[in-house]
Amino acid sequence: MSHIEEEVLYAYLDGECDEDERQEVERHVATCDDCRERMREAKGLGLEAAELLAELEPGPVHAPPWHELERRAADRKADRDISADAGDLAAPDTVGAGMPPVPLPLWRRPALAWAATIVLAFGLGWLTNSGLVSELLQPAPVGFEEIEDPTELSEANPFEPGRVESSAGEVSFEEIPEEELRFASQPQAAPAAEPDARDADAQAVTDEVLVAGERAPGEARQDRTADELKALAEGMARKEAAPATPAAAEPPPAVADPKVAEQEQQRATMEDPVARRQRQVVAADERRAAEIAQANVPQQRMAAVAAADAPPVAVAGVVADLEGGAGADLAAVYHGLVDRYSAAGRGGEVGAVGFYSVSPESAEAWLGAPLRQLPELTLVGVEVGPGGSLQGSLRGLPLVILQYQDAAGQQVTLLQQYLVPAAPEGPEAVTVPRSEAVAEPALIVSPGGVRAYRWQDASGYLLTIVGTLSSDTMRGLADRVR
Amino acid sequence: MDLSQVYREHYRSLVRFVYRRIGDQGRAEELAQEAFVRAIEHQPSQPRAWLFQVAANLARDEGRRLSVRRRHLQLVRDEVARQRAPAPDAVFERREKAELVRAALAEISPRDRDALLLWEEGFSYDEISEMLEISRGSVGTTLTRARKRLAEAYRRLSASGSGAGSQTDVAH
Repeated sequence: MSHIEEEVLYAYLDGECDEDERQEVERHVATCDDCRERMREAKGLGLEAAELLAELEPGPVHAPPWHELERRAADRKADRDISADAGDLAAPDTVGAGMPPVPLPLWRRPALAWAATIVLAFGLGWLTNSGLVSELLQPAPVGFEEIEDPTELSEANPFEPGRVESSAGEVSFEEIPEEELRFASQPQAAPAAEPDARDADAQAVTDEVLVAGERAPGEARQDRTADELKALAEGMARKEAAPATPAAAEPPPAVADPKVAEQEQQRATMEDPVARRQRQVVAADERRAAEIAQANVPQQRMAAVAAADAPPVAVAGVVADLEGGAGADLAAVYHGLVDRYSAAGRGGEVGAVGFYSVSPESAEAWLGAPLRQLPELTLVGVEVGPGGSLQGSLRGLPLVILQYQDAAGQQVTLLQQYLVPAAPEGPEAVTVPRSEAVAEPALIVSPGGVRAYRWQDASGYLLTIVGTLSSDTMRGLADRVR
Repeated sequence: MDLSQVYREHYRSLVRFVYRRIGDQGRAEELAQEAFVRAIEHQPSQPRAWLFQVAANLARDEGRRLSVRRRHLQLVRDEVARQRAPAPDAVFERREKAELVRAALAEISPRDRDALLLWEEGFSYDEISEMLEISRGSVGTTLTRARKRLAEAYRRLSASGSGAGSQTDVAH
C-alpha cells in the first residue's frame, strides 16, 4: 500500500479527516514503520509550532462594553456621508473602501497634509529662482512614523481639508518685501529634510542656538557610543518586558514609553531627581547632559533638546521633568525624538523630523511660554516639534503649530516660537536666535494661493500665520492673535 | 449568534490574532474593536469569519505604517543581544523569546502565516479554505509548510543569538 500523503497525515493530526480517511490512516500506520515515524515527527512539529505561538499570548485584554461599540457605530453612521456605493460592502476585502480608516490615538496622528501646506508655502516661494521647485512638489514626509505612501495618511488625518496641490508654474510674488526676496536667491535644501540639509538652511536663515559643549551639527550623530545605545536599549528592553496592557484612561496606549515606565519605577524608590537623571547619562555625553540639566532657565533646556541633534540622554533628562506636569503625551513626543535620534546615530535615517499631536497644555510646556492663540477660530489641532524643520521657523527652538478652522471650514495655521531670553552670565552661553522678522506682520510668501505672514511680537514670540484666505483676511487675523 | 455574543466569546481570540500579526497589544485591541464596530454596521452573515478577515486587512495596513518603528526595534534588539553586563531577569528572557518567535513568524509567507494563526484561533480547514480562498485540500499543506518554516526560522534565529530581522508584520 502506498504511504500516507503528508497532507493527509497532518489533517489526521489536526482532526480534520473524515471517518474513512481516519481508519485508513490508522490501519496503515499500524503496519508501516516509515509512516509511523513520519507521524511522530509531524506530531512533534505541530507541538513545536503551537508552543512557539503560545509565546505570543497577549496580556489581559481590555474590552469595552458592547454598547460602547454600538455607540461608535451609530456615531460613525451619523457622521459619514452616505452614498449608495459605500453602502454595498458585503465582501470583507472591500470593507476598506469608503470606510473611515481606523482612527489613530490623538498623540500619534501624523501631521502630513497641513504641514505640507506650510512646506509648500515656504519652499516654493523661496526656491523658484534656484530651480528646485520640482523637488518640493512631493509633500515632505513629516510625522511620527515615516510614511511610505503619503496618500495613505492624508486620508487618515482628520484635520486635513484636502491636500494642497502645488502648481509649479504659478508662483507669484505679490507684495514680498525686499529682504525676503533676498532669501529666494540662496539655494536652500528641501524643507523638513535631513539634518545635513538643514545645516545649510540654518546658515542662510537663522543664527543657531549654541549651548555650551554642543557639538557642531553633523558631528553629534557619528560618535554615539555603544554604551549610550545600551542605556537606551535597556529602557526599551524594559518596555518590552512589561506586557503592554494599557489602562483605558491613559492617553498613550500600548506602545508605552520606556523612559516613562522607567521613571515611574524610579520615582517609586524616591530617588533624587538629579541623581536619577544622571544615572542615565553615559560617558560620551555626560558633561553636556549635566550642563543642560543645570541650566536654570527652562527655555534654555527646552531649546537644547529641541535642537535636532540633542543627545538622547539629555532628552531623557527633560522627560523626567515633564513627566509630572504637562506630561504624558509630551513625554511621548520626546521619546519619539529619542527613537529617531538614536536610529540616526546608528546610521539609520532620521528622515523628516517628527511633529506630534499633543494637548494645548503640553504645547505650552513645549513652547516654554503661554500659547498665543486665535481665540475667534476653532482650534482643531495642536502639534509640536523642533523648530528648523519648517522653513521660516528658527532652528533650535521648540515650535508649536496650532491648526484652526473658521466658520466656513477654511484652515488657518498659526506657528509660534518663543525666543529664549538671553542667559545671565555663566557657562551656558546661549545665543538667542535672532529672527529676521519685523514687528509688523509681513507677507513672506504667496505661492499658489497660500499666504504666510510672519512677525515678531513685543513679548518675544515669533509668529507665522498661514492660510489660503485673502491677504487682507490673513493680515487681519494676524492682528487678532492673542 | 448575535454580534454581542460573538464579541463576548471571540474578542480575545481576535485580539490575539491581530496581536500576533502586529506585535502591539494596545493597537491590536483597537483594531479588533474597529472590526467589531464595522461588523455592527454591516451585519455580516458569517460574523466570525468576516471579523477575522477584516482584522487581517487592518493588520496588514498597520504593518505598512510600522515599517520605521520596526527598523528601530531591530537596532535596539541587536544592542540587547550584544549586552554583556546586565543579568536578564526571567520576564525579560521570556520576552526575548517572544521577539524571536515574532521574527520567525514574520519570515513565513503571509498566506501560510494567516492559515496558521487562524488555525490557532480555532477555525476549521473548511473555514480557512473559504477565508483564504484556497482549496480545502491545500489547507493541510499550507499549515504543514507554515509550521515547518516557523520552527526552522525560530531555530535559526535563536541559534544566531539575536532577533535580527525581527518584524512584526511584513508589509505586502
